[in-house]
Amino acid sequence: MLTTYQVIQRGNSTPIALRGYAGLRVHLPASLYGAQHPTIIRMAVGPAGQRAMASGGIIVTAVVSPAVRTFQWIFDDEVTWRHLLVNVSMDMAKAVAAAGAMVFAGAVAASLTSIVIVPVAFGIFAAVAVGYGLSVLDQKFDITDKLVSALEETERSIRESGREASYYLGTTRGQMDFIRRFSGYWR
Amino acid sequence: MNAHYKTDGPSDTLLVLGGVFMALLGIFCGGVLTWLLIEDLRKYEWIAETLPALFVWSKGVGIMVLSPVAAIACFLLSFMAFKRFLTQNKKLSKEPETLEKVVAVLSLVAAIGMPASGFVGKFYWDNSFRQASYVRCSNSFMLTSKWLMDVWVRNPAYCRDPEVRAMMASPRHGIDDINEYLRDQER
Repeated sequence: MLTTYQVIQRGNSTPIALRGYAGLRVHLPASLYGAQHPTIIRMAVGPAGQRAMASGGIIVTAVVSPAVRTFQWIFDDEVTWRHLLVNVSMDMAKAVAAAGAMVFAGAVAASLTSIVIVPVAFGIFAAVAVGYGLSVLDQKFDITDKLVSALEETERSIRESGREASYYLGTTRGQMDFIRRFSGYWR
Repeated sequence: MNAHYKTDGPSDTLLVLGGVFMALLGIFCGGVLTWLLIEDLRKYEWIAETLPALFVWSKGVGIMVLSPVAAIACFLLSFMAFKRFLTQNKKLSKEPETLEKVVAVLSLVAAIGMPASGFVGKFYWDNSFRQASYVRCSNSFMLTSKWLMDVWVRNPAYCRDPEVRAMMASPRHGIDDINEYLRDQER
């Protein structure tokens, strides 16, 4: 558990050197791995491994969220395209924030300790904390619902403006009103 | 290590930003998540006392039980970052220090314990609601549009009630309004 590692800068490559008793390391028995080695990536060790784990989370959200939300939009009459748009955007925003927190927390932890497990644990923990925290805060303060309401309000005001434009520009009475308003005739 | 291997320590910017980020994450875990846990426990007491016809319960309340442990790990890492910045001692020692080992154990407990306590908590609360004759709506996601929320009802027919679905979708109606409507229906 307390195996340590070090990212080494050697020209253009950055191999990862592992220290500790190799007999206890089942998945990473060698002492030196390339930063892009599949096992290193899979175990989320080193910056490339952390980035791969974070991008995996974003990709899963990008695939699952629109699929489920579209399904909900099709089968639930209460759900409109505004809900679809806002919910997918919020899911993606949460996923990106969690992934960003994961990479940054992993990078910070890796710069402060050489123990392999710490950046991985902090990465996972930061992603869970930020993702879950944002979901709870969203639910607590009804951010998604407020965004949907704001979108509805914007749509209503655009429709209102369209109706006004068609009145002022499309009817004789409207055109007369328009001229009166700007010429100060009504005063 | 061969002589041409070179390792650079973390930059001052990463140490300062990392220290601030970890401190904020610690405050978030120690303060916000603990506050949310207390709020949810109060809500549980309210449910046990009033036995409402319908209530919404988060699937991940248990995740927050170990948030103080995570907060301590974050504060320790933040302390390590600021200490390294102030002493300008950026080279990582080959053998991990005691503080690094403590952080490793705490972060591992938090990273594994938070999802695990989430599962245990969900099992515990689900059982206690079932014992109080509540049924979980199978269409909870369609009702709330939230991934982590479950809707529990005394009568499964409420899950399909179009008025309840409309009130759940509307930001203007809270759980109290829905329970008031259901009380009127029961009379």
